[in-house]
Amino acid sequence: MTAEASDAALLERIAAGGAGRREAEVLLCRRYAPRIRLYGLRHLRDEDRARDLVQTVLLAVLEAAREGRVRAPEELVRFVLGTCRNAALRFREADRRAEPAADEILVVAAGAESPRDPVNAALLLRCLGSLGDRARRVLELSFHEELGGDEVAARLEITGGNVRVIRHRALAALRACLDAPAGRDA
Amino acid sequence: MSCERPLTWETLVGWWAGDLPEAEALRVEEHLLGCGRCSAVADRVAATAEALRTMVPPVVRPERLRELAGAGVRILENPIDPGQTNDFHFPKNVDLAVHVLRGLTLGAGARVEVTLRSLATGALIGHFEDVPFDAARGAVYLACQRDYAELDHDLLAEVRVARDPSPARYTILHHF
Repeated sequence: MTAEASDAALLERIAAGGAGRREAEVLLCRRYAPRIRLYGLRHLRDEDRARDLVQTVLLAVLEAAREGRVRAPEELVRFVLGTCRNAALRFREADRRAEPAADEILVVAAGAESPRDPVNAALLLRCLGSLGDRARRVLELSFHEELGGDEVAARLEITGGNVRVIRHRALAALRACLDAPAGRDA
Repeated sequence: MSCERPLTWETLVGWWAGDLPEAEALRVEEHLLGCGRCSAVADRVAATAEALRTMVPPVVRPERLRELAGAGVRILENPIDPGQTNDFHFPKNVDLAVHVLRGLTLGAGARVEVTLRSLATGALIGHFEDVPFDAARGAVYLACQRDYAELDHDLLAEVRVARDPSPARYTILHHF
């Protein structure tokens, strides 16, 4: 069984049990872990919580696949999505209920400051500087201050449609600058 | 890893920014969970947005500095007056240096611009409009990180209040 095996083939092998089950489970986990992590980052905004989500969801997926409750690829995606939604909701509820001690707040806050992406601060500054003022402001308000599109539009006195266009173009330009080896010498 | 109807970059950025209607966001998430190719592109969106979210901006607001200090970040303030040339040695036991560009007359609601240039070449490093400031101290806080050692070390910072034709100038000679 190779990494290119279809979801259907993996599910079939897992449900069948026997010698090939473990290999199929490993392949399925490797395929879905990064996708679930991405969902977790989007909804939980925290790398550690996203990793917890991956673990929780994959355990549920493996159990369902072994029991043959998920057989078709489209069922698998819906099952993963549903489990992601429920688990993320539970995590957020638990976070709301928990009243962490002062030390925990400090540690979590410090952790939140550590970079999740190995982007060099100087390179980021240089690449941001290569954008126009408006584009940079839209990115800062959208992703640093985490304002919604309408709030950004109101702040900059432009339309929501403009914000969306500027935002996705500016983020693409920033990504290209960060990825370009020449960007370091620009 | 093929995909018949790949999600556009614009859609992925909208999704990450939380700007899509709920039904569309759900459709995007279902697609991403089933599609390695689009998921890889979305990961690039996420990584770029996360770098922006966690960055310390070059011109930093006073409240943010207090948050960082509360989180255990070791901050050193380096006050500089207009017209001064400041020799700044970045200490080893400091995470973040903050150049306090002081001596400014800043009323509430003032519009302040900061321009950073290489002293040696005059090349523009960054221009920032409508930046935050500390009105009580009459100062703008310029964050300086150790990674900035890769940039030109000698810096000219110009702070312009309300489009004043003669900005306050601060020269900082960094030693990392």
